[in-house]
Amino acid sequence: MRFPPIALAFVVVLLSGGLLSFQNEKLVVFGTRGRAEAGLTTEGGVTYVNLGAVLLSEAEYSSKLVRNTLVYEIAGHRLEARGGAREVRGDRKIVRLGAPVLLRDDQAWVPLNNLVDVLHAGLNKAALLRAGRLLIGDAGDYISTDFRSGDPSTVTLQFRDPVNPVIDTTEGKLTLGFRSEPVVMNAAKVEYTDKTFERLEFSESAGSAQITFHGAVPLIAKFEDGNRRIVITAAPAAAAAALPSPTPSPAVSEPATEASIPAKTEPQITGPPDTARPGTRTALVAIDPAHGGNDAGVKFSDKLLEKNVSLAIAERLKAELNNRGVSTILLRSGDDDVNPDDRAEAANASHVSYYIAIHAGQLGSGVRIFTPLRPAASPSSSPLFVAWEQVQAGQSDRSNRFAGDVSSQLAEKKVPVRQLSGSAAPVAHVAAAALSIEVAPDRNDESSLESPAYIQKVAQAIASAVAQGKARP
Amino acid sequence: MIPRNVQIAGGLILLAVIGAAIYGLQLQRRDERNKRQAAAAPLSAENANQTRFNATVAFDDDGVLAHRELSAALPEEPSERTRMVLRTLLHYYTQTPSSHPLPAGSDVRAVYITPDGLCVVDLNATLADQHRSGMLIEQFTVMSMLETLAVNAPQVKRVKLLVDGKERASLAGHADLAGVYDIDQVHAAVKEYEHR
Repeated sequence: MRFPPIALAFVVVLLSGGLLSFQNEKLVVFGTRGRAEAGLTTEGGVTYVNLGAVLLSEAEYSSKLVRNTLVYEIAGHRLEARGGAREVRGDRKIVRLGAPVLLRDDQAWVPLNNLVDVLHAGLNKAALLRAGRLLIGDAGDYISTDFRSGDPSTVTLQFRDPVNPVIDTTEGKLTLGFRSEPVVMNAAKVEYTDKTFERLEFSESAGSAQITFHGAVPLIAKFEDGNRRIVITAAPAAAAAALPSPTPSPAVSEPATEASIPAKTEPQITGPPDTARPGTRTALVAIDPAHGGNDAGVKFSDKLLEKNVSLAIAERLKAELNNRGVSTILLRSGDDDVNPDDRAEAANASHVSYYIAIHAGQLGSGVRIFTPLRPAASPSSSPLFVAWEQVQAGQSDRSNRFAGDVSSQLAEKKVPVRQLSGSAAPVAHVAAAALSIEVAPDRNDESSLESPAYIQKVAQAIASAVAQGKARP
Repeated sequence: MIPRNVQIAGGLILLAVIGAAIYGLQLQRRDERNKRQAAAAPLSAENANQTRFNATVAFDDDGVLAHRELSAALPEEPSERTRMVLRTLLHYYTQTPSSHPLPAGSDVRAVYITPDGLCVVDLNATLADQHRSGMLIEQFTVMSMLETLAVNAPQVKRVKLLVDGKERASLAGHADLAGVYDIDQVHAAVKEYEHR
């Protein structure tokens, strides 16, 4: 049978169109074996990445298709991706996906948004997904910049590995384009108060990175230390014209880091004493550092225990509240075993306005605020007496409003925050606006739970929320 | 000089030892294969007498609760049926890998449902004593169990959790077990856990 040429052409166009639409973009991957490209495709509004191509940037792997499941064996690890499933199974973890796995051409395609988690489950390696680039493990070359004012001024870029950027210069602007190197800068913009340099900008797009210098004069780049160092300075003719700067004065607008957080940002007000003074106070806050004594709570490591973290945060919160003129009562001040009911009783006996239980926990990062779950009504509830387990029920609205205030303050300080319902002993027995606050590590770094800057940031947010609630009519 | 009959006996013993070793290896491989298959397909409903049911499953890495279908042979009697639903959920968590690892041996000792909608769930001590500590981690376990229970036993309005037949203040230092959970409150709370 003859196939009409026009029909054949139609089929070819259809097929080529289909292929093009299936794999039309690339993700640039930097792994142990260097730079690789992995296909991207969009299906159902979801961007997918070819998992095998990403794995190849790390190590050679073997894969086999068992029924509808693609099994990858890579560097002693195993990864299973079942077509249509919304999860990928690693050695020890199951990664939940936002969209089902696609199996095409004996390759598994997973949602790009879940790729970092999949790699962690499959290779036990952290990865960083940036604009069109994936940096696996320690692949990223985080560069440092060193500005020196002078005649002429210089900015030195120090790289871990030799680089070979594409240099583009226009009047007053010099751009270094890094296509093959995993160059990363923490700052998106650095501004200078200088006769030579105005600012530096870092950007990423389409799998490459660019560093652009804006100068008041023409700029040049010099390569040193086997291309591991680039010194940017004024072009010779311009250097003579540039006036010397009187003082070294870089105004660096890098993103705030823990170290850059000022020790105190609030006015220093002498706080009231740490005791209840009925009749004279406007608010009394019970701060309950969870656990203590034999009850260590979460064991982050042999040395890092929840009971110590909760106490450190509680003590900081106490200071922040006192600074704002709020009286506090600390329900545990040492490494003591304190019964949960005794804690509730102490708070209730002091007629506190707010009760804040401080916890520290694993899973994720940031702060989780738990408002008490309203317990089931007791069948024998009496209008005259409130059952011990029902005392929190009448405080639900205040607790929720307080949780909202704390959430807002944390969000303002750029701390990831989540508000959930859930009761921890003894919060259900406290007759006040009550919250259980679980502080998780900052950016998944458990050592941050000992960081004074992180602790202070969280404590300040909670204290500000109390002050906000206190001021509310 | 070794007598011929001793040589033959020795050879036979050697052959028997080699054969037993090969058979032992095969048994070990079969056992490992069975374990892998069981771990790989906890959600399947291949057996004819198994019933699919909806479960609310915790995913630690994502920090969410999500709906999944599990399957088990479910009895008709409501208390036993609810117990089997919860046991299947716990079994799902004790597999390796797990989206929310629970201690091996975690189990539900008994479930009682009263005519007025109170459900008492008696968990074994292994689950509570060896549970990971943490607010969110423990809430995941409690919310997952309560929501799965409630969806599969709609007559239940309140739930009391016991451990080894006794009241307990908390699961592992955090999630409150002292009170009685109101299922309407649990339904509302679970929605908060479904999204980050």
